[in-house]
Amino acid sequence: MPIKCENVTKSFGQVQALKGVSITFEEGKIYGLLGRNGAGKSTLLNILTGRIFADSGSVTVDGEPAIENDRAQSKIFLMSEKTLHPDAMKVREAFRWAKAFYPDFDEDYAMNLAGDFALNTGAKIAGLSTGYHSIFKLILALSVNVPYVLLDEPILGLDANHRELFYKRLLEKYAEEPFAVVLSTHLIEEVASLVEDVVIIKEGQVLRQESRDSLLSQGYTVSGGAAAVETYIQGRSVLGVDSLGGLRTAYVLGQPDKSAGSAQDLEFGPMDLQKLFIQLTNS
Amino acid sequence: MKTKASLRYQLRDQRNAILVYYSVITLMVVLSLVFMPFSPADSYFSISSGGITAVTGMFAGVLSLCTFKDCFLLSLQHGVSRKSHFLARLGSLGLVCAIMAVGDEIYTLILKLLEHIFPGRFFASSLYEMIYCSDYMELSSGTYRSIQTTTTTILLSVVFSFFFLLAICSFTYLVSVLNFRLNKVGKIIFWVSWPALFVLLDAFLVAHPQFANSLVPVLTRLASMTISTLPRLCLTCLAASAVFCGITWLLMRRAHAK
Amino acid sequence: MLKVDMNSGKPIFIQIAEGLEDAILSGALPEGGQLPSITELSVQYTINPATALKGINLLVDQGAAYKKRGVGMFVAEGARALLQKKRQADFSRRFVAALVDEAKRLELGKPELLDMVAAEYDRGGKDGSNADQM
Repeated sequence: MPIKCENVTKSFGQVQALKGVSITFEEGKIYGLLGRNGAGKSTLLNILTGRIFADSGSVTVDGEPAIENDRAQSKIFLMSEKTLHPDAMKVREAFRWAKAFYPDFDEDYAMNLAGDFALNTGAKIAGLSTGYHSIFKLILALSVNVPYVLLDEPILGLDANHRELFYKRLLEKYAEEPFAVVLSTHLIEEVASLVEDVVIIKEGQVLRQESRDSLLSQGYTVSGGAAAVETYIQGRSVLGVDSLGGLRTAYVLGQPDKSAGSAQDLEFGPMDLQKLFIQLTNS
Repeated sequence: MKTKASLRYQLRDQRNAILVYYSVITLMVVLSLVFMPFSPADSYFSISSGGITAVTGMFAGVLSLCTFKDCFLLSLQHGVSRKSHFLARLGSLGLVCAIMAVGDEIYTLILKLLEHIFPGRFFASSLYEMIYCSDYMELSSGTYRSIQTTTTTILLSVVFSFFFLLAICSFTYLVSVLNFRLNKVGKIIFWVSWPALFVLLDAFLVAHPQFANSLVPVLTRLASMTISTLPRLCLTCLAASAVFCGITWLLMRRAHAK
Repeated sequence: MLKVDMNSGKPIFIQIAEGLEDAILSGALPEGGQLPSITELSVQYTINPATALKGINLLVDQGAAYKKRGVGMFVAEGARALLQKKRQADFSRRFVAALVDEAKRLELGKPELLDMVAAEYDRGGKDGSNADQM
């Protein structure tokens, strides 16, 4: 029952936010939707949930059109940076209304989570700090029990403790019964271990869509003295090079060649997701 | 299913304001009852409600003006299609107008009862009666004498109020949706041009009184065609509401979250 | 206790597997005993359950663990001996190679190195408590 978008384009005036994006989100997988500021992630998520309209292309959920379709949209829940709830609404009222629209919403679970995060459910949504705004939204997302939960910058403003708590609760829920989660975030390092698949968006286009492990196995780092590294990277596909005085670290695609001439003086290491992301998306 | 939830939400959104409105007008009646013994017997002190529906109309108009944005955005948050939201809106429109039409009539009847108990102190009639009931008498002091209230008048009053409010509410709702769709520049142009148009029209008519003179019979004809009798009024209001709602839909179907 | 280091360069699922192996070897996870569940592992280390599963499957593939339908994962009988043999075979690759590389980098000669190893072996207890925590 995947969400499929095919060739989605969207422009805002002169700016082309999405240029022919085709992605498939499958059931039961945790996705990392990664992209720089303005890459088009939020636009994509808003289009999937019908909040804005694409200029062209199609979005389907399990084969049926996703737009203006209550049944299809009842399988999806998006928490975006923008709060669409009325300012004066209280947190626990929001939970009640979520239940009215999503029958599988678990109010008790939501109230428990609110307790865990020390969120005052009697507070008005507009009065919440940035961090607690995020907490409010992610509690909704964790309690809604639909097959596709889309989270746009879920950890904005969360302190380390709350981030850790969020990941734990997310994984507990996921382990209990897997559901599709799309985490769109800048904090790549932290979610790298959570995600199964990665989608990288750069300037409105899909740069990569594959499993995290496969993505990471495609490259490596090689570090050492400037001369040794420079020699090694001759003729190889290099994403980028960092310098620190006389030391160099190169980010290379492919498999490490330990039999190369200067290999003794070099240290080979894996690429981590954040470094790979930075190298791939630096224009 | 989502339509029902959206309907519930839209009703709930308007509920408190409606309760406050009726509480306030009822409170005014209560207060006047409280103060009645304190006013000298011969002083002219009465509460008259001629056509509370005119006031309710203003209130309902404002209510509909304010109910679009919050409800629409909440619907979008919960994956409700615009079509479902619109259908729910139609439902809430009908229900709210019906409730207020009945509410107005109850209010008027209470006042009529008080008029019966304290003649000269209270006076009430519904807007319908004021407009459509020919045996309406104007007394010399400028007050009105109400006609005999029959069940028919009560029912017709409710019918009248319902269609009257329907037209007003669907109009102001349309205005709020239009305002939502417009960007900053559009909003400025729109909200400036209406008063400007009226000012220009007024200046024109003053400068060319012959136009005003020829316009009056046309307007009178129009009024008589559309609202001279209750059935005509209802039809006109219904048609107007349908048009307003239709345009509202056209504007709503491409509206996006802001 | 099983440690998972995101930056160590070793894929997480391998760290999970090795951590579990360590626990089995030390007796912390007794033979016949139950392994931590996927849920526990994924929540404890905030990793994707698929990764935790991959790690556990490494053990299953070696015969050090097995799955009891509907109950969970258990340490196989003889797992300790099995893992010990594997680790002994791996010892050279895992430890000696790095040791020799470092020694060569510091220009320590072979006799010197062997002396050091012998001295260290004789110094500490047999229970593996030699190494300083770095």
